[in-house]
Amino acid sequence: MRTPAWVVRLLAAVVPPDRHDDVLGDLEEIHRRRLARWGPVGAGVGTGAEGLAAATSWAARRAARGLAALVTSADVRLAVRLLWRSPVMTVTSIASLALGIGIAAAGFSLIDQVFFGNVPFPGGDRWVVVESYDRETGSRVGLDLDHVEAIRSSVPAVEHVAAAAAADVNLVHPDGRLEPVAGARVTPGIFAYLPYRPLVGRLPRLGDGREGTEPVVLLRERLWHRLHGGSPDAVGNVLDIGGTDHRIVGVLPDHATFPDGGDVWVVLDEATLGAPPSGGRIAGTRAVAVLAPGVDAAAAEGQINQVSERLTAPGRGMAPLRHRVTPLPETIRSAGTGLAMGAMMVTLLSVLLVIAANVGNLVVARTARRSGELAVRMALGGSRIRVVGQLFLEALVLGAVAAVPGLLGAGALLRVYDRLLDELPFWMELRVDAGTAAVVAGLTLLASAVIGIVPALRATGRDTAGVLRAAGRGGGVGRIGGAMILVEVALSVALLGYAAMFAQGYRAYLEPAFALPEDRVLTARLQVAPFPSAATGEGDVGTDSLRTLNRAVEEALGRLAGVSRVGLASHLPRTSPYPLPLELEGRGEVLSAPVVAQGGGLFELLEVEPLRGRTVEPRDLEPGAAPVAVVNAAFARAHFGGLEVTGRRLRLVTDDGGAPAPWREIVGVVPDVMEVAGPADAAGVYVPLEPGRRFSVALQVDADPASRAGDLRRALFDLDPAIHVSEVVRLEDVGAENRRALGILSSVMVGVGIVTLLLSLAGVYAIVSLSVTQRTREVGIRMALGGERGAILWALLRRSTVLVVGGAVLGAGLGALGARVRLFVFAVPDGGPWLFPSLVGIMAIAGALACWVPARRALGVLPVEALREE
Amino acid sequence: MGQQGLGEFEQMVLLAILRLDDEVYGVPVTEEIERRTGRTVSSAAVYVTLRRLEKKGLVRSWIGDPIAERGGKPRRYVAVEEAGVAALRESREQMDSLWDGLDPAALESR
Repeated sequence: MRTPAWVVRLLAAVVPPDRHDDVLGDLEEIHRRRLARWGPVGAGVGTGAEGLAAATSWAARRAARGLAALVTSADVRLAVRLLWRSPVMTVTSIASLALGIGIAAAGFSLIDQVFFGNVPFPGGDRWVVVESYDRETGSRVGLDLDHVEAIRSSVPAVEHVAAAAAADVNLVHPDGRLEPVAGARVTPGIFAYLPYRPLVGRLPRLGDGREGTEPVVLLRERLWHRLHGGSPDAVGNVLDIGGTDHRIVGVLPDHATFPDGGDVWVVLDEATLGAPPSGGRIAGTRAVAVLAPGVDAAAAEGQINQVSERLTAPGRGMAPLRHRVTPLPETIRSAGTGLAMGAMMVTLLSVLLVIAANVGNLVVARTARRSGELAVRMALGGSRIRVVGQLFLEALVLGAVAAVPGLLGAGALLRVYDRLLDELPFWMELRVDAGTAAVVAGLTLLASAVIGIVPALRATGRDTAGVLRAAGRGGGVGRIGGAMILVEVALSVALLGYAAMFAQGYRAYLEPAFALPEDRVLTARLQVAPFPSAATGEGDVGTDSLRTLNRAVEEALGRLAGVSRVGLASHLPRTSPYPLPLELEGRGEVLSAPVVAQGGGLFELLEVEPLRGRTVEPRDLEPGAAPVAVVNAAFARAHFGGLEVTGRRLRLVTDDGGAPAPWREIVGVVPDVMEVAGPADAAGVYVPLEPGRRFSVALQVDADPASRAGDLRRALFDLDPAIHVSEVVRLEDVGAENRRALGILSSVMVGVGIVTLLLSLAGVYAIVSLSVTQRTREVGIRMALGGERGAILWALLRRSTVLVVGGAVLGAGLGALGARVRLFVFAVPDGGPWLFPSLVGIMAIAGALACWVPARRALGVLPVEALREE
Repeated sequence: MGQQGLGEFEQMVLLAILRLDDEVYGVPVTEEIERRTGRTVSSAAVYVTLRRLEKKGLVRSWIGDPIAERGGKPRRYVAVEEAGVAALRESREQMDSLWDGLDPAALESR
C-alpha cells in the first residue's frame, strides 16, 4: 500500500520540483515501515499527519521566499519610482492612510478594551462582583458574615469569595510627615488566583489580618524603591499606616495593579472579609468572587439568592436581601458607556470614510492620468493581470508606508490617554495590541487591494482603443469622483464643525458663570473608614456616628489658624455631578438635574448671596428637620419660568423599588455656581448633606490656601488617622485633571477635523487638477475660437464648485445634528448662527482656490501649445 | 567558516550525518536527531538545512539508484566534506571557550 494519494498531491504542489524525489521518496519509505509496524490505518494516519505538517512547512518557506523576491523585484522599484513622480498625490495619500490607520487602530483598541476586554490572566473570566441590595429599601448593602459563611459552604458555583477595594491610606513617615498613598484593602486568599509573584518576601496567607495579630501589608515595587531603595531588608520592616504599625511581608511588581493600581495592599481578615470587629456588614470593600470552572454568573446569582432566601426567611430576624453577580469586565459597561462608545464609533467611521473617499479619489485620478500608458502597455502585449498587479503593488506600497506612522501614532495617543486616565480598571491597558495591529494591517491590505485593483480593472477594460481615444480627448470629474468629493467634503465639514462646537462648549465649561473666591478657598476630599474609630465612636459606622464625625471635622478644621469658615458638600463647584432623576410636585414628569448635598454655610463661604429666600443652613441638617431644597437660577427659569419658586416642592426619584423620597420645599434660589455644562445646562439643585463616608470640605483661609494644606492633613489625622484625605487643592484647581483630559480631547478633535479638511481639499485639488489638465486641448480650442476667459473658467470649474459647496452645506446639516447628542459632562452648544455658514464659506473659498489654481494654469497656456497637447 | 559560524540546527544535522556510518539520507538524519535530542524535528527543516549546507560546501550529495521500496524513486545521499568537519570543530572550540571556567553544577542553583 502506497503513500496516500492526497498527501502526494499536496506535497507535489508545494515542494520544489528538484526535491520531489527526495521528499516523496523518503515519505514513501517511512510509510512502508509504518505499514509493517502499525497496519494500514495507523500508517495512513501517521503519514497523513506527517505529510500535512511537511506541506505546511514547505508552503510557509515558499511564501516567505516569494515575499522576499517581491520586495526586491523590479515591480516594486517601478512602483516606488512611479509614486515618487507624483509627490503631492503620494504624500497626500500616505498622510491620509496614516491618519486613517492611526485613528482606526486607536479607536478600535479603546472600544475593544471597553466592550470586549477580559481579565487578562488564566481563569480571569471566572471573576465576578457580588452586589447585595436590601429588598425593602432597595439600597445597596454590604454582605453580612452569615451570608459569607453560607456562600462559602452552600454555593458550589462559587469557588472563592474575597473582599477587595481601593482604599487610599495615610502613610506616616518617621519624621511625622503625612503622605496620602493610593492603596487597597484585600483578603489574602485572592492572591492565589492572581498571577503576581512577590519580588521579595511572600504573599499574604490565611491568618494574616486576623484580629489580635500584627497587621501586615504588601508594597508595590515603585514604593519599595522610593522608601527602601529596593533593599530586600525592607521585608520585616514596619510601616505606619494611618497611625498603626503594619509589618511589610512582601513586595509585588509594578505590573500588579489589582484591584485599582495602588501602592500598598492592607491585608484583611479572610474569615470576616474585613467586617467590623463587632460584627455587622462588610463595608468599604467589594465582595469579589471566583466562580467554579464552567459556571456562569447567572447560575451563581441564582444559587446565592436561593441560599439568601433561606437565611432571611420570615422569623429569622434578618432583612431580606437580593444579590446580583456581574462578571468583572461588565461592571464598567453601562448605558452611558455604550452611548459614548457608539458616538466614538460613528466619529471614527466618518473619519475613515473621508479618508477612504480621499484616497480613492487620488487613486482614481492617478490611474485616470495613466490610462493612456496602461492601454499602450496592454496593446503592446502586456497581460491584464500584470498591469493590474502593478497598480495593486503601488497601492500596497502606499499602505505599507502609511501603516508605520499610523500605528506608531495610535500607540502614542493611547499611551497618553492611559497615563491621563489613571482610574482605569486593572484589567484594561490602553495600547495597540498585536491583535488590533493585525486587524488594521489586514484592513489596510484589503483597502489597498480595492483602491489599487478596482480602478485598474476599469482602466484596463476591453475597450483599449476607446481608452486611448478618451485619453486623447481628456475627461472631467466622473460620477464616482463627484460622489466621493461630495461625501468627503460633507464629512470633513461636519467633523470640523462638531469639533469647533465641542471646543466652544469646553471653553464655556472652563469659564465660570459665577465668580468664586477661588484664591482664598482650600478644598479636600475625605473618605472615612468603614469601621469605628476615635472620631466615629463605638458601634457600627452608621448615620449617627457619621453625623458626629461630620461635626468633629468642621470643628477641628474651624480651629485652624487663619481659617474663617468651613463647609462640607458632596460635590464642589466644577466637579460635574451626574444628573439624578427628580420630580416636581404637580407635574407628574421626571426630569434630571445635578444634585449637590451641602452642609450649612457653604454658600456663605463661597460668598454666594441667595437671589430669593435662603440657602441651606445648619438647622436643616439636624435629625428630624423638614426636608428642604435650594435651586439655582437656571433651574428656576427652566422649570418654573422665573425666580419666584420658594414654597414649591420637588423630590428625588429612587429606582430601587423602595419607598419614595420625601417632598422637599424649595426655600431659596442661588446664582448659577454649579458650572456643570455651561450656559446650556447649568440647572442644579442643592439639598442638605446627609452624613456619609465620602464628602468634600472647603476652608476659607486668610492666606495662600496651599500653605494650609499641611495643617489640614495634620488636623484630620489627629482627629482620626483612618480618615483618608485626598485632592487637597485650591478651589480653582478642583477638577483640573478632568478639564485637562477634556482639553486634550478637544484639541485632538479640532486637530483631526482640520487635518481631515485639508486632506479633503488636497483631494479636491488633485481631482480638479487632473480634470483640467485633461481638458487643456479643449481650453486651447475654445480660446482659439475667441471664447471669453471667464466663461471658459466657469465651464471648467462649475461642476467641482457645485460639488464642494453642496458637500459643505450637507456637512453643515450633519454637524448641527451632532450638537443634539449629549455625550460629555458639558453640553455642546449649537455653535450659534455663524459657525456653519462660516465653515461653508471657508470651504467654498478654499475649494474654489483648489479648483482655480490648476484652471488658471490651463488658461495661461498658449492656444497653439494647447492644441499640440496630447 | 570564518566569521559566519554554524547555526545550532546545522550543527545537529552535520553531527547526525557523521554519527551515521552507512549511506546517509534525509530519513535517518531526521530519526537520529530526534533520538539523540528528544525533540520533534520537521523533515522539511532537515531538507532545507542539507541544501543550505551543500551550498556552503560543507556537505555533498549524490543521487542513488531507484529503489522499489520508495516507489521507484532514488535516494539522495549526503556526506560531510572536510570543510564541514572543520566548521564543526571551530564551533565546538568556540562553545568550549565560552563554557570554560563555568561550573555546570553551579548553574543548577540559578
